[in-house]
This record gives sequence, C-alpha cells and structure tokens, in this order.
Amino acid sequence: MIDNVIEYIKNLPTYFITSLGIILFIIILSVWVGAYVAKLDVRDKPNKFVTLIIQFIEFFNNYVKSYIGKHWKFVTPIALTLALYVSISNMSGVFALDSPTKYTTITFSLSIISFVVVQATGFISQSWRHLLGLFKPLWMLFPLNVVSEVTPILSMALRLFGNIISGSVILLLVYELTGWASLVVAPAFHVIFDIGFGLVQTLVLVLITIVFASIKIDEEDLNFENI
Amino acid sequence: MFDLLNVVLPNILEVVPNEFFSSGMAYIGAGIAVFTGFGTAIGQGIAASKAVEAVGRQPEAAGKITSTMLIGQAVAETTGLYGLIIAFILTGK
Repeated sequence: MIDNVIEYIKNLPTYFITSLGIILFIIILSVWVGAYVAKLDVRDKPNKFVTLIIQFIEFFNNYVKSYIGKHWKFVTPIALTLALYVSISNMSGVFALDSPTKYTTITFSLSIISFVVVQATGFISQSWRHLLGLFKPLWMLFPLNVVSEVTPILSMALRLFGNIISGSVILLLVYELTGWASLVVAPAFHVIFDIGFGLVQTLVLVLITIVFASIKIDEEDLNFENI
Repeated sequence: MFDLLNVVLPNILEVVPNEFFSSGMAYIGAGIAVFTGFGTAIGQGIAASKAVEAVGRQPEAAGKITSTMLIGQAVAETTGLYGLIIAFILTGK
C-alpha cells in the first residue's frame, strides 16, 4: 500500500499541481493583504485594490451574518476560502490551465468540507440536541432523515463537476469545429462557460452551504442585534 | 447476455450482436440520457418567466430577484446534469 502511495506522489496528475498552485496564490494574496491591513493607521488611505478587498470581506461578513446570526465568526472564514478556491479554479480555464473542479476527486472533497461545516455548525449551536433533529417529526423517520443529511454530498459534488465538465466539453467541440477561426470564436465561449457559469456555481455552492448551516441553527441565535 | 440477444434479435432485425453492436447501443443510450435536459429546460424557463413578472411588478427588487432566480435555476439544473454524467459514462464504454 505504501508503495502505491509513493508511486502516486512520484507522478501526480496535473490538476493536483494546478490546485496546489491556486492554494499557494490564495495564501500569498491573503498574507500580503493581512500584513498591509495590520500596518494601517486610522488616518491612512489604503490603495484601491486593498479597499476593494476590504469592501468585499465586509459584504461577505454581513451576508453570512444575515443567515447564521450569532455564530457567524465560525462559518465565515471557511465559506470565504471555499468561495475563493472554487471561483479561481473554475476560472483557471481562461489561463489555459487544467481546472481542478473538472475532476470528481476535487469536487467530492469540496462537498465533504461543506457537509462537515454544516454538521459542525449544528453541534456548535445546539450541542448534543443537534442529534435529536434526526428524530424530529416522528422517530420512525430516522433512516429517511439520515439519508437526507448525507445525499447533499453527492448532489453538490455532481452539480459542480457536471457544470464545469459540460462547459469544457462544449469548448473542446468549438475548438475542433472552428479550427484556426477559434481565435475569433472561442473567447466568447470562454467568457460564458468559464467566467459566467464558474461564478454562478461558486455562488450556488457557498450559498447552499450557508443555507443548510442556517437550518441547523437554534431560533434564539438568529435574532441578535450586535454589529 | 449475447446468447439471449442472439436468440431474440434475428427474428426482429437483420443484425449480428457483437462488441460493436453493444457500443452502438451505448451511444443510443447516451442520446436518450441527455433527454433529461427536456424537463430541466422547462423548469428553468418557468423560473425565468416568473422572475420577469416579479421584476415587472416590483422593479426596485430586481437585484434580489435575479440572484434568487439564478440560484433556483442552478439547483434545478442538477437533474439535467445527472443525465449528462450518465451519458459521459456510457460514451466511455
């Protein structure tokens, strides 16, 4: 078994290396922005790029706060990381990279992360009473409730995978069909299938994670007026 | 399985079942599987038409309605994508 692992590490697939590169890019960007913001004084004027990022994070915080309520500090960082990673890797087809979300390995790990976030939010908000939710309307519905908790893993992974792979297959067809004329035709298709659908799928993945997490929250935690 | 087909098929069609026949049938199955897009397209069209109506009635809420519509359509798209994935699996046969 260890031999297999070593063999796999020796010749990693390209999408894995692309994924590592995207993670490295996000880390470098966030460390740079963090260092810049930490040094800022109240009277200083941040430059335009950092202002944009600060505005975006402010918007994202308020967005999560409106759904999650009291425990937003737990959910926001992982949701923002998911959003950044998925959006950049969906759009990496524009830079002629092998986009990692085209493979079920990556999309399944992303949807498992989202499942863990949802369950952990439930445990943080209601502690062990979260497990009682499985018996909610009637105790006989326990197996059905378990199935409905677990199936989002499959559906979220296949939704992301299917959207990105269908876009890339259509792009392949366009490139084969038009030949040298693809220089003129292909950019429009890239804008639709890589950037447009990629951003919509990012929005859907993150929003569904947040909405599923907000279902697990206690009623009292949602109404808090402290910003 | 080919034995059964060998008995049944010559009475209906003038074919000899072999591996080419099975891959051809897999392509036909892929074509049928992509037909799931039929229902998905109708559902997305209904969602879009209702969103247009809602924007016409309440133009100030256009941004919120558009984002809600996009999310609903992307969720409804899932069923169509299942058919697409099955078609991909079948064409690999």
